[in-house]
Amino acid sequence: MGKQGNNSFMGHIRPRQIRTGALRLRATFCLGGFSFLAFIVLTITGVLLLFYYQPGDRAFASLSELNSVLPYGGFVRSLHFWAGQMMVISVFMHMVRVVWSRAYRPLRELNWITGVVLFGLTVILDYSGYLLRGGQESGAAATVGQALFTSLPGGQALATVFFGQPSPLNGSTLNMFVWHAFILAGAVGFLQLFHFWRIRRGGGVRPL
Amino acid sequence: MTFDQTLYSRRQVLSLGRKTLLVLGIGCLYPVSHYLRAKENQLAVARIASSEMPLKIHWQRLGQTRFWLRQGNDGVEAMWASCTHLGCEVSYDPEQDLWLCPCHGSRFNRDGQPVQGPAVSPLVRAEVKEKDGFLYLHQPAV
Amino acid sequence: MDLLEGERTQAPAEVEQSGRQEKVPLIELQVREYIGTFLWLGFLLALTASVKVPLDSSPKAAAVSISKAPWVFGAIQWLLQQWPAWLSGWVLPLLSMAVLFTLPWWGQKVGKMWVWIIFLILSLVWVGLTFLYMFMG
Ligand code: HEM
Ligand code: FES
Repeated sequence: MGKQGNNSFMGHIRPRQIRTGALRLRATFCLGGFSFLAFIVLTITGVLLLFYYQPGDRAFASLSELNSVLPYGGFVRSLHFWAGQMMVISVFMHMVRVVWSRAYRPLRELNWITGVVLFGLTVILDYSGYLLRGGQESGAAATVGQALFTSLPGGQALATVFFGQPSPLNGSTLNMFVWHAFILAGAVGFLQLFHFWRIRRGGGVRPL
Repeated sequence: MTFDQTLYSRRQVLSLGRKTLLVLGIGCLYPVSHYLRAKENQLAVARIASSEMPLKIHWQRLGQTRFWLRQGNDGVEAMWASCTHLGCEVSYDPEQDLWLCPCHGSRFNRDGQPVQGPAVSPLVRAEVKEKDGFLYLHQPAV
Repeated sequence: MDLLEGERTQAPAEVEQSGRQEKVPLIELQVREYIGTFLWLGFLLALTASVKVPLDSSPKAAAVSISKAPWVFGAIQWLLQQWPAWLSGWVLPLLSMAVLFTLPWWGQKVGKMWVWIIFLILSLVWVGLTFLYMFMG
């Protein structure tokens, strides 16, 4: 990625000259960028949480310790929480903006599809993060999700892979932890890079 | 080209490699799915000394479990406190004499029959076995 | 590299069609990106500082009587209270996602105007149900 040729990733993302039209705020309201920014904040604070969070039976206890005892622990956790909510909202608004400016039309279809996948994954990430609290409410939310999977034919297996053992007593957070912090977060990170790359490559706004 | 005489072209080797990886990858699905589902059928079990719990005629929760116990006419009865709608943990409210679900508001009467809300089937009883002075409780396999 | 990529991610259709080709140096954009970034971070910090994030009820505490789902799935929760689980939990959400996925295709079928209308109705229903669930009994 080192060379600044027109084909290199960085060259696409950061061309040296840009069109004036692209500068106008009304064009995008920065919503895509804000979503990405939220993701960066989430990654940083998420990694910080990893140092103390204990998935499994100790989930709730480790979080309440982090929240109340550790210096800046509550701050890190709040940042992670609010950035997560903001990300869902800004991804959604970004989608509204894309439909409004009709940017989903051919040539950009692939990016529209990527975007919808990203929206879905972000919502699921927010949900899975909430389950990590391991409290009663999050246990109930996990139970409902689990029951929805179990109700599908052959869904028992899926439910086990996503949620762990059936009927956990509010707090079997290990599986969801792996999904939230590694698999889903990784997939969202990767898809975002792809999304930005497509904007330059296949989008209507030609490489400049 | 110096390698023209070789048995396989690079292209063929590459494509063979790709196919092998694909087959290996698909082949892994079976063991991986079993690995991930290892605890699929694990059902909750609990044990309590018969003498330890003063059983009442009202339902009482057993520690941090979903088992609730009461003294019935012919011995100890146990309820598995999972809502039959989507599985949330129900709890017995002695004042209203009802089981209440926190998730979508289903209610069940004291014997577990649904009286309100999205749940339509009754709560499920847990199996109780008495052995060597202990009560063994088994989560019902639904 | 700075953080905000999205600011000029997709120019609106008018710009594209007008074919204006004036160029400005990248720094013009970067300046705006930095301003946007700091405004956003400021808002996030203000939110973090002013609203405490609850941790709900310990699993060791007495069972809660009402359990509100996280707001992202509030609409589905509302639906689950009315209709059977297969409909509210699977068919309606998946159908909505399917409509979203096929929006470019609908655009060619029924035109941009209708796409906007379909999308708006869909979004408003889901957002509305979310609010309904969060703020009413
Ligand atoms: C990309 C989008 C992400 C979203 C939308 C998201 C959302 C959330 C939410 C809503 C919570 C619950 C916070 C709470 O209620 O206390 C949470 C918790 C958590 N997240 Fe994330 N997260 C994201 C990325 C990440 C990443 C990248 C990591 C780690 C590398 C991570 C690690 C954690 C951990 C350890 C917790 C448990 C601590 C807690 O609940 O406060 N998250 N996440
Ligand atoms: S899970 Fe009990 S009412 Fe839905």
